[in-house]
Amino acid sequence: MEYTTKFKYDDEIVRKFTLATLVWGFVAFLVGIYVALELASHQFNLSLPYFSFGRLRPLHTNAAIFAFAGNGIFAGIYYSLQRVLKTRLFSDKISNFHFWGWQLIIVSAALTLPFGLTQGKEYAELIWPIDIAIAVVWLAFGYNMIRTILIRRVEHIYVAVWFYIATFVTVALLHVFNSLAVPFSLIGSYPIYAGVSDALVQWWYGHNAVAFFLTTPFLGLMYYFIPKAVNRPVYSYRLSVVHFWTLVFIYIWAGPHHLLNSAVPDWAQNLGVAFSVMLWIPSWGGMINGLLTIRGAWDKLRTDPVVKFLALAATFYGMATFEGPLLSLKSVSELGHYTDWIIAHVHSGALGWNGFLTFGMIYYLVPKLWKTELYSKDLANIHFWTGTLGILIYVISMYVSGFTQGLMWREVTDSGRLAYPDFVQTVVRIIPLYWIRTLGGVVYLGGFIVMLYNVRMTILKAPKGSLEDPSDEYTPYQIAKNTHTESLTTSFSHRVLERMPLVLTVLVLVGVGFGSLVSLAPMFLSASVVDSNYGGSKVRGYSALELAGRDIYVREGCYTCHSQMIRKTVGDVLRYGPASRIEDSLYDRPFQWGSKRIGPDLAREGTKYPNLWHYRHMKNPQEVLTGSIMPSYGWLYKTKIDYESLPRKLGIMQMLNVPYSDAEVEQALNNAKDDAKQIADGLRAEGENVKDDQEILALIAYLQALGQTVGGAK
Amino acid sequence: MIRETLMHLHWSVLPVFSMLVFFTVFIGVIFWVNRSGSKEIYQKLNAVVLEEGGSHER
Repeated sequence: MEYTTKFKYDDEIVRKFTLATLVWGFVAFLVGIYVALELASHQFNLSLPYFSFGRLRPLHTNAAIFAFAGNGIFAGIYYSLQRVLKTRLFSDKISNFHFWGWQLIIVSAALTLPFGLTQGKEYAELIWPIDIAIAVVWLAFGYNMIRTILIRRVEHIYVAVWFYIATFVTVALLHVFNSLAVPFSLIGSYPIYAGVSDALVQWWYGHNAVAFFLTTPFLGLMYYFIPKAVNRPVYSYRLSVVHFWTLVFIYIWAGPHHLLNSAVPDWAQNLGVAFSVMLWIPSWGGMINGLLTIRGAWDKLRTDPVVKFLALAATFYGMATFEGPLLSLKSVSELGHYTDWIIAHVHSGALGWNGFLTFGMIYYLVPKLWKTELYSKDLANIHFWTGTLGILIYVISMYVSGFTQGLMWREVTDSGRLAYPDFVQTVVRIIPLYWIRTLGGVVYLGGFIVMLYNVRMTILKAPKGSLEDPSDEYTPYQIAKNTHTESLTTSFSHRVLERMPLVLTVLVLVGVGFGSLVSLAPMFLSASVVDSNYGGSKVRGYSALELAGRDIYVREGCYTCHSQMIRKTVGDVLRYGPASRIEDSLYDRPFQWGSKRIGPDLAREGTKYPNLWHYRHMKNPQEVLTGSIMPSYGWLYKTKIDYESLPRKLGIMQMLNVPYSDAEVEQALNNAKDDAKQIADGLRAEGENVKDDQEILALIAYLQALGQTVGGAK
Repeated sequence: MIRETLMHLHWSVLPVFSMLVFFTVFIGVIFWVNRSGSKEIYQKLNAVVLEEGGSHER
């Protein structure tokens, strides 16, 4: 039997996502340059809360990951999904709900983050109502995709779609479990996890957000767009199957490599290291498969900008996935962690792999979606070389900065003392590199602006009414006996394991679920993790005022510059004191270990300086510390402490097993006021003009509590 | 009892256990993609991405 079917792809939704990718890409890169400027010169913080680095940095990362890359992923998935399955998307309404819902989420993020509305967890900063919206929209996307697969006109599910399924399943799992929190208001919440558990769950999420939001969907796109661009089949379909299953199985375990030499138990760290090293196998298998697909068409590297972008993207994927496992070795992590080396690593992946693959895809898509030719290949080539140059300037400066920081932090003199005991000495040294990094970002953005112009002109060049041309409206597809799809029906095992979306979904869920369960469950089950005798007494919860201060610390994004984890390394212990232990952050919701030290570690900051020092330092850091690049937090001297919410906050903490007595919860408001007055009295005695309800007092109380909650001290 | 056992388990065995599980999966996948008759299937499938039929396709 043989028949021809005609149908129409929904390209309108692809056009929408493509344009959104371009708009948000511009925003993400622009904010990135601005936060880079803020590090090069603290003056760019403008002494305004909405422009401070701690608040804008999450805006940059969220815009780059979820707005730019996210919209790019959806554009590519919706375009390729329909074509490899030979069907239209299941529901136009759901597609549009997905599009507008996602844009609304992005706008909500852009409106809330500068106002300090954050959960204080990296790459998961958005407040709980937005988290719920993300879950709903994500499920709509997944439902639409799965239903589309179920109504496909071909029997086989191409491997790119496997990667899309893994993306949907795993991101849903990660997002839901990492976002579990108890709200204390319409905009605020505390995570159900605390301290080391929160750290493990957060980096299980954080690492796999990279894996399943910035890697697997892009690999799916790679397996579609590289063959299309060079008009050649995938180098090895077998290798792509091995690539898929090994990647899905391994990636989920590697999260703890973000917590090496920390207070996390050694077995968890070793688990992360082992699986990170194994990631070399599938990652390089995939990269080789992508690049070798271009075999026989290498000449297109000279002539076709699409192929240039895609080939370099795959190359950056190989470089980033070589470097990732390297950085997960404990000794390398000791040097690289908390430094700009990580920033270089992240940006070679984001700008090179995600950025260039998205650009290549858009150069491929736009002429097809608007049924015209690309306006200018020359401009696309200029974009390619400008973007490449921008990445190189960026990452090289950050590599040098990272190595400099790492080496200076741990260098000791012949007498065994730190060669650079003042942290600010290491900051001053790298400022020129921050300027060079900014230049790299500007060059990269310059190339992107060329692309915007080129895309705009391409769209304008499209013949009027071409999108409504009835002759091109329907795609004929012939379904017949003896085609490749029919010949496969004899293989039962193939049919079950490689053609059924629900089976694939379940298998992916089993793979990532097993890894998640084994690597996380022990933290919640083990009796030996917490030493209740450490410090001679049980760990206390933060006082009401300290908790108010902690919430301000989280709101201002202090964790973007300061860690709270003294690693078990010589350099850290010499500089900051005894290595941090699990008990030190036992009741920290959210944990604030951080991932970058633009300023010093604060884990044992309490009692290190008097209150007056903090009071003056937060108002004008440069007056207290020459060479500091920390911005002024002048608004904390005007805004008032939110005393009223404290009983409710302490009540929730008590519910989450923080050992508060009922009296402490009931008296939270009065206790906080008393503590604030005590600090204010001290400052007034030193000649400062202080009111009892200034937020700075709560922050000082919190900073003085750091490292002081163990051992019975208050 | 299960909870008690888990609470006092020596978790340092996990990396070795997990790696064994992974290599089992890895070797299993290698065998799977090289199963009898798979060559013909995959040879045909690796070109599926190029078959689209739209008049505006490359």
